[in-house]
Amino acid sequence: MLTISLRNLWEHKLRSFLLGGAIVTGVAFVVAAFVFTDSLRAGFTSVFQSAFAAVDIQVTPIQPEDLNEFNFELPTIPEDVADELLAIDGVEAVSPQIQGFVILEPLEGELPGFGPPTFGVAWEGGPSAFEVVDGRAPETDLEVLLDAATLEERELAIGDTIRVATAGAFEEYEIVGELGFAFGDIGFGPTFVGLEFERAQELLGMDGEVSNFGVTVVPGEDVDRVNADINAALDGVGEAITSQSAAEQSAEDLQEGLGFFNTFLLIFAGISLVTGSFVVYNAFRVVVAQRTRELGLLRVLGATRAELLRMVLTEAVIVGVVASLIGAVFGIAAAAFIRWVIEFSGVGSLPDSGLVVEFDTLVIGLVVGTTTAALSALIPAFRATGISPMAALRDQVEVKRASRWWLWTGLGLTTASVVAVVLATMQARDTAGAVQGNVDPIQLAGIGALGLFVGLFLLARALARPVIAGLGRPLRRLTSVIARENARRTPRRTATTAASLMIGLGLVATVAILSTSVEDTILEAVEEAFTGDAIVQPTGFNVFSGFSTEVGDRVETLPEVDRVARLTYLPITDASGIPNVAVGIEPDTIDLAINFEDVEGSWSDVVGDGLALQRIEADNTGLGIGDEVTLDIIGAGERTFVVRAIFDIGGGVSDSQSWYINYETVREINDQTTDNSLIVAAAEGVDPDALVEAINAELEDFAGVTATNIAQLIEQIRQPLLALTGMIAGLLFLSVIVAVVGIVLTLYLAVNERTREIGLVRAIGMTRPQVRQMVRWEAILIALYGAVLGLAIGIFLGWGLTVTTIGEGSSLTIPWSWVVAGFFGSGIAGVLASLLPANQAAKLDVLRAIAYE
Amino acid sequence: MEVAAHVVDARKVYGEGTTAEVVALDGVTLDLEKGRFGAIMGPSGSGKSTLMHCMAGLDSLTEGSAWIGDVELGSLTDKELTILRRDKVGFVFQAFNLVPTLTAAENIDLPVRIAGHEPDAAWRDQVIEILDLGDRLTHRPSEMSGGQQQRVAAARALARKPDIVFADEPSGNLDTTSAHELLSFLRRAVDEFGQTIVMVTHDPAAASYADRVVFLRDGLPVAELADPDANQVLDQIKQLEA
Repeated sequence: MLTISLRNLWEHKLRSFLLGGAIVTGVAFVVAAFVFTDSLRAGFTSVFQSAFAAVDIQVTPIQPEDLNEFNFELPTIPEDVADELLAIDGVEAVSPQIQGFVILEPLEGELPGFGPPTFGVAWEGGPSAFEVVDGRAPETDLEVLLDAATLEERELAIGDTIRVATAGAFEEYEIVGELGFAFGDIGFGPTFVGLEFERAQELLGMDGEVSNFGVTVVPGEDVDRVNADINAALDGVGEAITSQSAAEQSAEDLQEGLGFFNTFLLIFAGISLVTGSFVVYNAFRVVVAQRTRELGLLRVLGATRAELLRMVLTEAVIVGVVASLIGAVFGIAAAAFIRWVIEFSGVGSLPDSGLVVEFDTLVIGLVVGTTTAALSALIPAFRATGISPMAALRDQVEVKRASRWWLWTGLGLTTASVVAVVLATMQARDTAGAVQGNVDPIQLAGIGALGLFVGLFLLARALARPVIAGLGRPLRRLTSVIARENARRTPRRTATTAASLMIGLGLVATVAILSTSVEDTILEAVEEAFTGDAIVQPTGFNVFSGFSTEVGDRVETLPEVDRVARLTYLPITDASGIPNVAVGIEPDTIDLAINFEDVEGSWSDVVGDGLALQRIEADNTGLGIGDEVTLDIIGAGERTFVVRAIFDIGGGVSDSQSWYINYETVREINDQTTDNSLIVAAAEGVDPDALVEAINAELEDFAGVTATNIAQLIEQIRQPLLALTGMIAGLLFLSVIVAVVGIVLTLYLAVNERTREIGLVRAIGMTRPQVRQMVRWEAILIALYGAVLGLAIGIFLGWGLTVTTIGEGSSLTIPWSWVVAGFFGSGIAGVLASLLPANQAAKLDVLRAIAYE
Repeated sequence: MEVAAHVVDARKVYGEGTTAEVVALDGVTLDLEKGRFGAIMGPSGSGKSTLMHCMAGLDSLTEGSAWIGDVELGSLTDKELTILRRDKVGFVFQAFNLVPTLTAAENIDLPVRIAGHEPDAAWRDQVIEILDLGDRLTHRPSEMSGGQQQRVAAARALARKPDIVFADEPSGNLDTTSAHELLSFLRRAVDEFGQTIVMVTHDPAAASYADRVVFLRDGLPVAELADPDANQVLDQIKQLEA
């Protein structure tokens, strides 16, 4: 029996190859995902190991427990801890290190402080991850080291000057050398600027403090033992970690940032395996049907049904194993390719560690591929082997009336899913949530979405004939008319083939619509909530760092400016225990600061211990006017406030800034002279662009404080969202590739089945190019069918999920360019998929085709 | 008399140079006259189908030449042969004659439309009327009987007014009544419209509809009858087998 299986596969090499193709794609994605991640982990670990090689142990400050994302101060450790460390047995040398945020002068056309963070670093002798690779170390206040990448990007050389700032004004520094760091240039990582040690302490506000210590251990001493001793000695002041653990930890952290690649690949592995299993299922149905007589003969000769079943399944398993192995090879190659793309496209340069192929990866790939193949072949095999020996040997195989369970199931499921999604949107719109009791609308919509995919997949068989007739209506040429009828004659096969495109495009369209709609909704809300003509904010990495009140004083004096509302932030842990800020506002400029609505109480009472609360927070906490609330102010302890006003923010914005207190109160508490944001109203007749220009000219010597108007603000918000667009394009491309494999196989099988028919039309005068055209049109129609279903699902779910997640006031944006691209891209995919089968059909020998039995 | 198609010294050898070499045609010279209904008969393996395929441009000769009108088939490329078949030749096969996804009318128009022309409506209606297919035109092959399917095939073969129609066992799969109807029609097409038809058959009754019957054995013509009836054909076959 095994001989028969093997011979069958060998006799139909091309068919077996294509059959495997579907599995190959899926396994390749799985293997690529694991190989890519494993390689990354190994690469980063080795990079960080060498980075920390100069240091055996790192001593860092204890992370404060109330570390707040709004309280962005890097923790420090006293300088004199070094003496304590040197006293510990086994410690060879200790090097204090400093790290803090600085800002380099902006490049042409960029705002200061944008992009990855820039760290000012300094170290004093001893072991360090940093070194001077060219030039000399900075010796005076206004000397710096820049890393090679920054020098190259800015076309600077040693001896040139560059303007650098911390929170205050820019100052001009001379570049005296090149900074090297042992972990090389990791591309997407931070920029480092080397400073003179005491200057760095002063600039970064670390008087008598440092960021960490690098420690080396006397050769021969046990590093772990010394590490433990340091930890014991530094109880509460700092903590020590060996470089080995630090390297592993850092690699792990960095890799998490790239984890989305992994998710991305695994999603595609899933999609291609599901669609791949349709392909295998289709193929085995046809293959088994063609071999019905052979199976019947074997039964007459005494083979049991179980034996035949085993034979067919053996074929599937062989295909699965071979395809998985090939897929694994492709997957490893794909992992290498992804790396190359990341480096080539400039996203970043990854550590070169070679590809790490774990044994587990191969096992997973093999199991997944083989199981998919075997399971997909199970139903057709079971059905075909159930045939009676005599029926199989008779010329015409009796066709059993197909059961129509799928039609009713599909119809029911689709209807139920549509209803579920619509209900979810209604419930999301109705803020009272009374429509369906306590069901979470997002969950309901999610279940509806899943159901819709399954339901339409089943229904796709019934829709194939009418939809393809509609799509093919404009076709007039004979070859395309025959192609249309060919695509319609086996609706089940057409449907399963189109399913891969349907699923792929459906997901992509849903994500595209949802993301653009969410984006637009946010932007509209921003526009509505924004009351001023311009906003002055710190830009860049640490938007919560604040800036001198001098900025506001100077802006106020400009002739282009009418009024200025000052906002200052106070880091707190709010009533729900969540890190947050209390915003200090001046009651007389509140109308400029916030576009508030429906005020209960009065803003003018928000003085002293008075507090204003956004209504959503009031609802959450149950606080009302006159109630007392205690806030834990970071660095200043608890303080009790009285609720004096409750309000909504226009445009339905409910951001995290819910707590408002008086500006003067904040001053009193933190004794600082910084503002966090200024809202500026233009003087009569000054347009927003001129206003922003005037303010920025005035603030030229303040680093990292910039005025923007609403148009520019929206542009800033939109920028990072563009990355998402690229990802959607990638998804679209991949789903099309998977679909092409399926279409190739289906058409190849169809051509094989229709050998006689093609022979007949060739005999009566159809030319080879016409035959090719016929197959090509069939492919196009199948692809477009999948595209239509997918886009229909996508648009519906895009709408449903947008309304459900955003609720009332969502703005639905359908990116029609994507939809059109998806539709025509699918058509092109169809053309590509048809190349091989069309050639196969055109090459058929007419006489053989007529004589074919 | 004008000749519609002819072969000169036609030899066809399969598997040449191997131990399994088979000589299907062993130097056949034959003229098929215009406006006549010819039949080629012979036992299995006599080479009658091969002869037809070679004369119709579906297969190529090993030696010798085959002509349709004054065109020598051996000199044509595959594309030229395809167009020649489309424009000058009609075919009726024993089975699987129609494209299953097309209606009867679409099948009849197929060669015309493949060529990108519009059907000659008057001629087509005439053919359809004689074949009694008027009420079947919108049906698909699966909705028609074998006899009806073969009549549609015959209508298709004649739709372009070809120079010659080749019919390969056209009544082989039909019952007696359907066979009679089909063959009578082929006969009428020759008598009334001056069509040229050549039929390969092993059925003496079918052969009796022809003007001329050529007998083939071992790749060579061995006998010929003019205007025979079924009995004469049968006698001839017995004689050849003796």
